[in-house]
Amino acid sequence: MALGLLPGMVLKLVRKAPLGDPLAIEFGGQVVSLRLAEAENLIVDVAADCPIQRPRQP
Amino acid sequence: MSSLEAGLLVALVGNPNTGKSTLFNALTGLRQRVGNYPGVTVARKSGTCDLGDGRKAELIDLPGLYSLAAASPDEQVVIDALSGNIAGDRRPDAVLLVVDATNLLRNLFLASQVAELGLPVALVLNQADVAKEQGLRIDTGLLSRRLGGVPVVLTSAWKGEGIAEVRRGLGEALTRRAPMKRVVWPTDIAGALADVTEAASADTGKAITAADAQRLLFDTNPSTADRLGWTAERREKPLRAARDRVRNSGYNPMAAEPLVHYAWLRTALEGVVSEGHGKAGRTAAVDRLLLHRVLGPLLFLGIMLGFFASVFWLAKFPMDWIQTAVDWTKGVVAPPLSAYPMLQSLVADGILGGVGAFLVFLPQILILFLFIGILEDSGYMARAAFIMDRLFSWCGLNGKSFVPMLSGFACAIPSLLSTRTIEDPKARLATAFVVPFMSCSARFPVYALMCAAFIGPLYGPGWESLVMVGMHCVGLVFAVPTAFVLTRLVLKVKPQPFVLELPRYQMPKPRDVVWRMWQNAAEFVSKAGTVIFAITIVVWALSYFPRDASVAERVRAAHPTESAEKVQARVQAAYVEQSYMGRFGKTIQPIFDPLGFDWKITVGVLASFPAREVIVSTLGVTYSVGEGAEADSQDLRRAMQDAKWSEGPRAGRPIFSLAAVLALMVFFALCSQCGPTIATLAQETGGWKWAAGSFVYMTTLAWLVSMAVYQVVIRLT
Repeated sequence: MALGLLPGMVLKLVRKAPLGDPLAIEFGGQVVSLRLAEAENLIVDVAADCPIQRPRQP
Repeated sequence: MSSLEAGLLVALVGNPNTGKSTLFNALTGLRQRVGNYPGVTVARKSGTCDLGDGRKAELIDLPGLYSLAAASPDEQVVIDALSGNIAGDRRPDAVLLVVDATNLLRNLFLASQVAELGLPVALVLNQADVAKEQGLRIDTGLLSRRLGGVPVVLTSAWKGEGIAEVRRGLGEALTRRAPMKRVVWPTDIAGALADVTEAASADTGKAITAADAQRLLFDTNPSTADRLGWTAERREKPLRAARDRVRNSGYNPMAAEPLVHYAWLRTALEGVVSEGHGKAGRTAAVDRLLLHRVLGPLLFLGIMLGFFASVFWLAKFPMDWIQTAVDWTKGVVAPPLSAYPMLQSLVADGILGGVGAFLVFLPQILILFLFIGILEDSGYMARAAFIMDRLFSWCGLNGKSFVPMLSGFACAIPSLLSTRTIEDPKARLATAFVVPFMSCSARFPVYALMCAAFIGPLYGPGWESLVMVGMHCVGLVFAVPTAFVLTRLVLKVKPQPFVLELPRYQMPKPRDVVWRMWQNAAEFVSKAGTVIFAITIVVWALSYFPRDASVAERVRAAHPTESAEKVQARVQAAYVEQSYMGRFGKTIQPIFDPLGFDWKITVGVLASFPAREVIVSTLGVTYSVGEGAEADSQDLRRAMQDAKWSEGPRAGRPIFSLAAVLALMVFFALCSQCGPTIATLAQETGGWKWAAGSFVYMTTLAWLVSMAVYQVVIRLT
């Protein structure tokens, strides 16, 4: 939250680390590394223009 | 401390990766003092900043942080410093807030939290050059008006641009004492804050500031309540009621603070930043390469191996020079003292040995911190942690544990200092605890001697190299489960969030890198250096006294035909045998008997507690080869190969059987035999508790594993 990850924000998964965890996520003009354990707490909708159209369980 | 004097005191506050330290160095021109905050291992850096109008202010560089919600010791220090709750420091007269001009919204969150403290503020929008490149135009006049008239300055500290304006802005903030405009809380949250203020002040009898009330209401961390003396029983009910009030107004109490701040900041920033056409940064392109699925880890390995090899090999030359210089000084100082053998030995072996013992670490420390500075300031360190995190997270460490553990293979001392880059205090502690297990370069001579004298001649060079490599892995094999047990069972760490910004790549500024390297080295010499020196003197005394001249005469009488050199070696061996160290070694030899160590090895083990590499020269003395024996000494190898048990059930059999050789190497791989490491561990963990724990744990583990190795191998061979 202090990094400005707020409800309603658009997130972009930039890449995964070589071992699949953590994730590099871009929001608000910055790239932040989040472990899967933390990313699981995020509830996301897949954007309409997202190349992967697979519903994800929160 | 000078901040208690009448002069002006200014705190430098900002997010990580904003160029805060570069700005600090530019403002103070390296007129800096480094100390520690009482009770925590957070460095207190301060310097004198000229305000350009004849006034001077003391500037304190506080640790970088994203939010005032205290989670780590670093963050707690910032809050305490800004509230004037640090012993020896008064409350600052103003805050110099550094923000990244390319990401104002996120950076100003901390600024608007600081505004709640009611201190005069000057705002520095740093990295203006990058913002300009990206096509961002910032209306500083408008931003200043929106924030209540606080001075707002655009700078590029890296290029040294805008520094005079910062001085002027800070001078203005100190003169006008205008605080920054505060966030407007929705009615119910304002009401909840008022409730908390009232309840806390009624219970504690203390004045509760607005910032205190916010920390009490919004944080689950009890540090503010503890400081105010608001007990858990008393605060539980009013806090729950206040949080319910926030919740009923439609806000999650744990998220209300950033939500309200960010909403307020969005309004404040409207029209301040206009985006034009600019180049996209190179960072994304570089990351495509450096964080590539396959290439990323390979490049990472390459960079780290290069890094490690440099620390290891580059340091060799200055280390040799230091050794040569110490030996040369001995050669100059010792002969004139030959009339006073005790004084001669004290100066040559005690004092000069002690000075040499810690000076020899300096090259590695300097080189390690040079590389760490480059890796951190360039932005690659965060990527390294990103790549490695998965390998470390399962045992309670994180990606940032990698560099200290790798450099532990060169030397534990600089590695322990480098654990400061780990923010999470428990992961930092656990990393520091396992670093001494890494097979440092001082273990190398021990393995080299044993392998060359026994494994090589008996089993061939193939086995010799295999055992060498294997010995370097022994520590690692025990370090990982140790970290797991320590974090899960002893520290009881719940898996900690590891949120890490992957900052923009940037060219490191040589002045910053060199300056940090120098500060770390100076701290090591002044703190650990004195302890190392003291330990060396004590061990010297134990192996020198008592010294009865009749011992020498008896040896000379017993070997009348031998060369003077040979006799001198025998005299030395006899002296050590009857010294306190030798007597103690003989007394406790039964403890090491299950490991296959005779009293001579036991004395060697004891004498090498301050520094494990001492075993080689101590064996040289006890096996009458003479002082100054090195790992490649043929005489020492032969003496050890010929050594036989003189009594007991093993009489007549070689002391250095395969079992004993392996046991001895394993013992040295695991045992805590390094005074400097213990001293540095105490320094870095803020007390002797963990240092003592590490010593007891490693030494016990070494004894157990070594005993197991001896008992198994002796039965198989």
